[in-house]
Amino acid sequence: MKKKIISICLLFIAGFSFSNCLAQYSFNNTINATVTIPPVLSWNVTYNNTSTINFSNATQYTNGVTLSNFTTIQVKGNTPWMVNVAASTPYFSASGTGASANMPANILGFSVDNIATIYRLSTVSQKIQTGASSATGTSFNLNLIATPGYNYGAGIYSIVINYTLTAQ
Amino acid sequence: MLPIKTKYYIRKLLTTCLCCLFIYYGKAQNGSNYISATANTTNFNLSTANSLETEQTLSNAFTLDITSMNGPYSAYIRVFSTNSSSATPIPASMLAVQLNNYRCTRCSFTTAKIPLSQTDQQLIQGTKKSSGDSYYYDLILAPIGYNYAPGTYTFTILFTMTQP
Repeated sequence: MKKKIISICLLFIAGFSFSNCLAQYSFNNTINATVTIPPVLSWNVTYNNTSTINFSNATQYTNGVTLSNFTTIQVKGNTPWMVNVAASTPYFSASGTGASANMPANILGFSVDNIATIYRLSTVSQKIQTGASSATGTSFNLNLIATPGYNYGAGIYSIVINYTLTAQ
Repeated sequence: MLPIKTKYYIRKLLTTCLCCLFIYYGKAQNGSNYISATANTTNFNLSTANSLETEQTLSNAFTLDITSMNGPYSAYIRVFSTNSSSATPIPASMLAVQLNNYRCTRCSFTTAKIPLSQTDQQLIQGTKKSSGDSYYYDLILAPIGYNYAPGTYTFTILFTMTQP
C-alpha cells in the first residue's frame, strides 16, 4: 500500500515538473472591431459665372444667351449617384412696371459639358448627370441657356434653382 | 468482484488520467495566468464625408488585463480574421492601436502607433511575474475614403500572451 502511495506521488510530481518544463505557455483572447459604412455622398458646387443675365440687343433676344461653365459640380461618393435640377416655382418673380408675371421657368435650360442635350427647367426635378462611386471625385460643368424671346415685358426677373445630389 | 489484475489496470488508468489532468491545467488559461481582452467601444460608424476622409480614433477602445504568476510575459496582437459584406475587404493594415494608459509596475511597451497585420506584433513585455497588469488602448482607423462599398466590415483581433 505504501509503495502504491509513493508511486502515485511520484507520478504527480513528474506531471507537475513536465508541465512546468514545457518550452512556452501561450494564452489567447479575442475582440471584434467593426467598421460600418453607410452610403455617403459629398459635393462641391462652384459658381463660375454671374447669375445675372442682361438682354441688351436684338440678337440676344433672338438667339438667347448662354453662360458657359455657369456652374462646376464635383461629386465624391462610395455609391452611384445622380444630380437633379429643378426650379422652385413655375414662373419667375417679376419686378418693374412693364414686367410680365407669366415668364415660365422653362425659358432657362441646362446642358452638361459639351453634350448637346438641353434640360428645360421646370418644377419637376430632372436628372442631368449620373456617376459611379469615386474616390477622387467626378467633376462636370453646367451651361445655362436663357431664351425668353420677345414674349415678355421689360423688367427684372428672378427664380431659384435647386440642385439635388442623391444616391441612385 | 473484479479480478485482481483488472483492479490493478483500472487503478493505473485512473492515476494516468489524474496526471494528464494535472498537465492540462498547467497549460490552460487559469486564475494565475491569463490575458483578458475587453472591448469597450470598437465600432466605427463612418456616416459622414469627414469621417471617411480623416483618421478616426476610438479612445480607450479596449482593455488588456494580464496576470502572469509563472514569470515574465510578452503580449502580441494580430488580426486573426476579417469578414465583410462587400467583395473588397478593408485590409488589416488600415487598423492600428496605440497605448492610451496603463497600470503595471514591471513592464515595457511602445507608445507609438502600431499598424495591425495578420502576423503577431509585440505590444508589451512584462519583465517579472505580475498580477493584474492593465493596458488601455486606442483603436485607430486610417482614412477609408470612398474606395470601399457601403456595408459592415468585421475584424477579429487576437491577443496572445506567452511566457518564455
